[in-house]
Amino acid sequence: MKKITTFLTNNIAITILILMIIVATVLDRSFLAPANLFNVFNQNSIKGIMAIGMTFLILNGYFDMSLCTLVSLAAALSCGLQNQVGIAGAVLAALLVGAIVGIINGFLVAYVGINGFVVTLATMLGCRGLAYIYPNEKSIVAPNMSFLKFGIGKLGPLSYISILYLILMFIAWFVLRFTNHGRNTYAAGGNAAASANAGIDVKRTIFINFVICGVGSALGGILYAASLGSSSPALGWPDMHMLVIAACVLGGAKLSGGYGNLWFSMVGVMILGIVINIMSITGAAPWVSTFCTGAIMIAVLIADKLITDARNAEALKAAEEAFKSRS
Amino acid sequence: MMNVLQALTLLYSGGNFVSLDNPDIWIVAFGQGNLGIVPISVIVMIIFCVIYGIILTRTVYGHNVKAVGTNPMTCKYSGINDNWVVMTTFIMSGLATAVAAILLATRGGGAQPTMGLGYEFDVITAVILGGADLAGGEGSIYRTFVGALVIGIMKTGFVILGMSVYYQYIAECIIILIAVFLDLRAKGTVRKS
Repeated sequence: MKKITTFLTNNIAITILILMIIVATVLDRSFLAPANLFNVFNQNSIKGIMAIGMTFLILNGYFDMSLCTLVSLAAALSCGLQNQVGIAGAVLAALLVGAIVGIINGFLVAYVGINGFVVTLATMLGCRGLAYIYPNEKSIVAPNMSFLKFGIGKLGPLSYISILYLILMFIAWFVLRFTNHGRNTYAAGGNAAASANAGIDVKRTIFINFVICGVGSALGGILYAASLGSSSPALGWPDMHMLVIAACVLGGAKLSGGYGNLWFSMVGVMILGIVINIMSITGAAPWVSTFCTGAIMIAVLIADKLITDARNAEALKAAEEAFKSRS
Repeated sequence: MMNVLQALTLLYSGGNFVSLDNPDIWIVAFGQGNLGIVPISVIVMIIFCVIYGIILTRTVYGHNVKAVGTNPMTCKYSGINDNWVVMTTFIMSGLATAVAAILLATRGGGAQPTMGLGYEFDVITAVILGGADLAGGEGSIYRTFVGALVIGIMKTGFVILGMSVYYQYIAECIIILIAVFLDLRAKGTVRKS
């Protein structure tokens, strides 16, 4: 029993997921139907893909505000360029723009030394301008049907997008777990000065993570465009980045960096997805789900703080006792 | 918190435009009235700037705010109640937001649930342009005021030039980056790549 409680307090994301599933099942039995569960997963896989990039960045101690408008810019490019350069070209161009924005962010933060919040806020405004100017403030319908077919296509119960999400999760997990870059990310997020002294190129790590996040958000925008068959300049504005960051934080990642886990970020995305899903099943007003998301966030942060404090106090007490028994 | 407030706004207004029932009520004067040639909202702003400026520069509390922003641990050990300071700064910010909201609503004669969406970016931009340090411990009211003026002048300029509002976002982006870069260089903390 004690093992279970320790596991649940250590992995608070899983606790909340279980609680959410119980609450959702109590509210409506049809929530547990496999079709609905797959629905939740399919609907939130795009957000999950963006959360992968954001997790890399949060592990490093930064976050990217430019995600929300980069999504709409990438969506507009991937739809609007299809007539000129074909689907593959349009998608590549959108990804390239995401990488460029990531490079600008990363260069200014890592090598020039400007605060990450300010830089990404500025690029967010810039991307928002471009996202409206490029399509002349109109939404663009993707001319090629196979783009939409990829977006809504399914292989068994899973959509193509969620399969892509799972593949990307495994790649990202591999990178974080088994490569130098992943280890450097954790180290640089935990203590930048110490890891710089230990010979890790902290600046390059930050730079690469900003590029990963930029490409991830652009990919999210492309997939949104694919699943809708069109792009809209207001896509993602004004709180997509907040939702993605909230998902990572729900998954236990600390905004100060160094703590976090990709799979828990996935759990965080699914928690937010379950809130929206159960609200639409029970037919609640839209403000209820916004309210619940906010309330859950605050509750999680408080619980996390309390647990961390209790654990710190426990460790301090144990250390004091050990010190006393020795002397 | 943003989510919660958004939800409460939608709950209260039911998603509709809430209009002022009685346009002659005294509070409308705040948004629409003039004192001579000066709009009353400008006077409210000046009063707020002066009061907040005095609090920040002339009182022990203002001194504590900057000290806590620079190094909360040191303040804690030198006897400043840092939790209290942080909490009151949030209250001050909330109070200023509420006053601004009243001015905004009375000027337009009503309130929309989505009013002020994206204002936080403008406001933070103004504060950054005013040279405040996001890491805490540096900044002043009058410089933030100048930052807000820069944003206002820029917006008006774009309207006069007849350019799309979306070019304004790009200009804002470039201006923020240049301003922060120059600020860093002035402080001599630009790291050589």
